[in-house]
Parts: sequence; C-alpha cells; structure tokens
Amino acid sequence: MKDIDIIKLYFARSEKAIDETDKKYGAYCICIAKNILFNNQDSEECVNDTYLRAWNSIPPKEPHNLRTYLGKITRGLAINRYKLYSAEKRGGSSAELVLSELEGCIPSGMSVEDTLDEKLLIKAVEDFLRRQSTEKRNIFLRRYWYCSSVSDIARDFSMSESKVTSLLYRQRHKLREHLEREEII
Amino acid sequence: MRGEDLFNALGKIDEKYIEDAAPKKISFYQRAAFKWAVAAAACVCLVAGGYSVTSALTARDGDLPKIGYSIVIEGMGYEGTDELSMKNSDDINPWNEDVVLETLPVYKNLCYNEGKLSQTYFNVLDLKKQAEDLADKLGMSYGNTQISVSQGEEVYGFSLETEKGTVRAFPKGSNITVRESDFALIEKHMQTACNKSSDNETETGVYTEYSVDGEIFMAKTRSYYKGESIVEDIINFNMQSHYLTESGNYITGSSDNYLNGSEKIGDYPVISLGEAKEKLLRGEHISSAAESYVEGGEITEDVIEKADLIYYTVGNQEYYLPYYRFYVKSYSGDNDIQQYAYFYVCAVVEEYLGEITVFDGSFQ
Repeated sequence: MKDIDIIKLYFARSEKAIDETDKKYGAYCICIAKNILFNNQDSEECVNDTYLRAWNSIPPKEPHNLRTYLGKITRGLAINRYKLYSAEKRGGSSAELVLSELEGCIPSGMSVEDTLDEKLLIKAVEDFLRRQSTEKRNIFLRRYWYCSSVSDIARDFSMSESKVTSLLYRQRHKLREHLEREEII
Repeated sequence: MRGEDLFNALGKIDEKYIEDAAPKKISFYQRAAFKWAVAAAACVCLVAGGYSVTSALTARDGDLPKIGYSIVIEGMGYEGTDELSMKNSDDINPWNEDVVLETLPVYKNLCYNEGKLSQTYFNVLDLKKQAEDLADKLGMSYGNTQISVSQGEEVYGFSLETEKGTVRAFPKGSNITVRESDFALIEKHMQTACNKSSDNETETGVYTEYSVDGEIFMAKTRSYYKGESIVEDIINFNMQSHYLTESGNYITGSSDNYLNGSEKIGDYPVISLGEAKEKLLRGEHISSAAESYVEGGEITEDVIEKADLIYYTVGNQEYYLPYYRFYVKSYSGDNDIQQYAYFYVCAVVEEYLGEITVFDGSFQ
C-alpha cells in the first residue's frame, strides 16, 4: 500500500492503518529499535509505542515521508528506553558505544551544563553532512542515526570493519573541527 | 553539551539524509546470526557472506579420541593487522620459529553451543556464584545489585556492582573495572583468576592497535604466567592471558580462562612451521581474506611477512586447536601503511584431519 493511502487510513481513524504500517515499516522500525536496545521484546514494545505515537499524531500531522517519520519516533523512543535501562545497568546495547563515540566530538573542557542553541547545532550538523560524499554520509548516519554495528555497516558497504572504524573516526574528527569552526563548541 | 545532545540533534536533521542512509536489507534472522558472529570477534563464526569450513579430525589409532569440529570464517572484511601495530607492539608469544614441538594439546569446549552466542555449560546461577566468589575473594562487597549481562535473550555473563567497581564472570573468564587508585585489586584479580601469587613470574607486553589511518585505535597490556615448559607457556599465553585497559580514571583487568569448562582431548602430533608454510603455498589454508586481497594476487614466499602459532579461542568455539598464523601482505589503503591479512594452517598433523570442505558463503 502506498504511504498516501496508509495516511488516509490514519485520517479516517481506521485501525487498519496500524496493520498496514506494521506490514510495510515494521521491519524497518524494529531494526532501529533493536540496534539501540539489543533486545527483541523491548524492541517490539518500542515499535508498538511508535505506532501509538503515530496514531495520536496523524492527524493533525501529515508526514511527507512516513518511513522516516516512523523511524524518527522509534529512534527517540528507543533511546529514552535505553537511558532507562542504562540507569538500571542493563547492558548489550550498541547505543552506549555510539554515544561514547559522539562524546569524542565534544571538547573535554565543555561541561554538561554548557547549553547551546539546538537549531544552530542541527544546522551545523547538516552543513557537515552536506560536505561529505554520499557514501561517507550514509556510513556516518548508519552509525550515528541508525546505531548500526560496525560489522553490519562493513557488510552492507562491502568494506572491512577496520576501514569503517577508521572512516568513522575521521568523520568524527572532521565533525568536531567543523563544530569548532562554526563556534558551536 | 554532551554526546547525547549531538545524538538528539542528529535525530532532527533533514529527512532526506535519513532516507538515503536507511539499511537496504533487513532480515532479523540474518541479523541474529550476524550479531552472534560479531560477538565471536575472532572471525571464526557463522556470518552472512562468509566462508564455512567444516572439518573432521579422526584419530590415527586408539590413543586419541575421534573428534570433529566446524568453523565458519567471517567473509566481509578480513582479519589481519598492519605494520604500525606490529612495530609498536611487544610480542610475548612464547612460541617462536626456533621452538620444536612434537605434540600440542587439543581441548573440547564443553560450553560450546552451536549457532549461539551463549556458552551453555554454565547456567546463570553458576555464573552468579562465580562472580560472587570472585568479589568475595577480592573483598568487594556487592549488596543486592546483581545484574545479568545479556545479548538479546542470551545471557552470557554475570555482573555485580560493588562499592569499588564492577565484577563480571563469564564462562571463559572474568573481569573487574575499578578506579585507577584501586590498581592493587587488578593484580589481585589476575592472581586469583589463575590461583597464583605475587611470587609467580609473568611475561608482560604492551599491544597497540592502529586504524588504517595510522591513528592509535586501542592500547592494552597483555600478560601471562610463566609455566615450567614451553608447552605450558604456550597454553598459558593462549588460554589464560590477562589484559589491562584504561578508560578515563578507570581500569579494567580481564582474565581469560579458556581451560575453564574445557576438556583436554589429547596431545596431538603437530607439523612444523616449514610444513605449514608448504600447505599455505598450496592453498590449504583457512582465512577470512580472499587471495585476491593479497599483494600480487597470490600467496608466495615474498608476501609472507611472518608467522606465529596460536590457539583459536575467541568466540563460541567447539574445539581449541593450534594453528600457524601467517601474516600475508595485503593491499594497503590510501596512506601506504602496509596491511597484513591472517591466513591460518591447522598445526595438527594431516592424517588426523578429515576432509575439509569450504563453502563459499551466501546469506544464511
């Protein structure tokens, strides 16, 4: 079913909207949740929450791209759930690694309390991504948006894991330089 | 600002980038297999797009039990090292080219669990008891905050939070993470893990791994207790090594113990390095690297940089066997840092080996 038809079902308040969403984008959402949570049951619960969030938000929202819209909700819910679990010291998630790698983009002198304008940060990150080649950008986002493991990325981009690791290292370094140049950090 | 703020900002970028980067193939059965493979880490496991190598070892006579094993080598990316890592690491492997060996022990891993990450010889309660015993011996009090270490539904270790740090027990070892100021606990853990004391002699070296860019990727200290013979040294080095890594103000001491939950099958006759090299040159090797990765497109004397002898231990292995590991020059990246791919030749004498079948991998 086309996205526009699924969205029509949401607007018509038909529960079939959830079934069709699950059929078309269930695997995509589970993949994102599982990368972050590393647990089937939690991932499924997280994706169910995504559907509920979509049900409650469409209408009034009318997503331009349903897949990405659902992916963003899943990612946000999964990371919140991950934070809860990390407080409970449950391990196994790649999110911990992803967050610690991103931590490396922030100067050590910058404190947690140092606030920033999120809009400026998003714009700077987009500027940085725009300057990357398509492949490098996609690899960066597979790691830091989708939280995919280095092994999964290596498999999907037909590269060695060490090459992916090195490429990500270089990109984090460049991102930090870019954020410094833009006086974000 | 923290890494999390950056993570959240990334979550709000233009959707077109997110859409472009979306995984193209998603299959959870594939993913489950792949995660297991990743955890095995030493590239000797089932993985999408890899090579499957199965072999049966058959005893020549009644002295040695009949055994069989299976290995699947990772196919995407390959296992190896580079000139910087080699140059900037100490080599404490007790084996060297001058060592003459007639036999080496082969062990059956009683924790082996086919196709799974978890090793089943120990259940969660066994691991919990191991962690508690270790914490008791180290004088680290833990209260009631026991936590299992899991990957998906599979529990593969047990972790205790104590007032001094974390204690973790695994079927094949243990580790503790404590503050730098509690370094004495790291030494005590190492001794406790091997029933040794400060009087026992150790061999220690620093290993530095570099990324393909020439940046330091990881540095760790590796140690093992010296034994009374070269074979004992080889076993201690391969089966009971200790690692020290630092992160911020914390240090982690890890002790492998692959002898834990393993059964010695017997002392198997082994081939010499020269014989292994002949097998390598004939193409009788196991590797996650295709020969096309090798400099010049084929393995010749000229591209073999060095060799050592190791046991395959990392991951969920059915048997712990000795292998000659050859460092073969492979194509380097843009920065001219020489890369080496690992090619393995089983050190056990040929007549104890059954026919080896190599399956060119496709998605499982």
